[in-house]
Amino acid sequence: MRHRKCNSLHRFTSAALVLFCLLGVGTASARNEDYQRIADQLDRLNSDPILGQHAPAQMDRARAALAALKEAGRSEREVCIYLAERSVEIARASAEMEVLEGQRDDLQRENDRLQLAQARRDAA
Amino acid sequence: MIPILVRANAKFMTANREKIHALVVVAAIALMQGCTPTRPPVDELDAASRAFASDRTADAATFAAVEYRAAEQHLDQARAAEGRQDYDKAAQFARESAADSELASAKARLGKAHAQVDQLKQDNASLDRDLSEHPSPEAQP
Repeated sequence: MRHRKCNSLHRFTSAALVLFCLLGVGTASARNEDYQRIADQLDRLNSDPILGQHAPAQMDRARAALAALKEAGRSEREVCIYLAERSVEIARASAEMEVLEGQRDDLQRENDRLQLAQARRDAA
Repeated sequence: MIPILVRANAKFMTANREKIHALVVVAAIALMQGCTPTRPPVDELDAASRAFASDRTADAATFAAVEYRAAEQHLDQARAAEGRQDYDKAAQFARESAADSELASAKARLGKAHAQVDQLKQDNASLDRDLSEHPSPEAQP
């Protein structure tokens, strides 16, 4: 009787252990997926021939947020995922902004040149 | 023999009971520690409020409506969590709100820059056309 009880307890414990291991593996895998997804986004941004050359400070912050996500415990994970995603988006927007500022400066110089030409023509 | 066993068992049980009591006390302390509110996240809430205020001046509601709304919602949630003394949640929402606000500001600046670029392109095309159609007398042969 006792032996049977021990056996069923043993089976229950083993099943619980297997379940815990599977849950643990599943959680770790989900964590890796989130990390990998955001790391891929940042890699794509970094390797972009135009955007990758801009916003170095924001790129560093995105890398730091990604590193924090890698080290985050279970309770911090959700917020770290959110902050890492946002930091990559901020880095992209900042890089696009720098590119656009360069374009705007070029257009402004062209605009100045054309206005000067127009003024000279009108004065002639 | 039996009284000895009973006494030994009683001793053993007492020791176990003490251990269990000690464990219960430790668990209770740990639980209380976990539930005890930490300090209010004043810095995080201030930073989130300031970031959201700068969103307003940057016209983020117009140029980055989704991120602006997210910042507003997270700030409201942070204040509500602070109100019910859930300071960990308050800090978390405040950090999320600050990130939303920063992105909203960046997108608002980007939107304005796009508008300026488009305007300059139109102006330059118009000036160029005008100069081609009515060239300077010096430039004419």
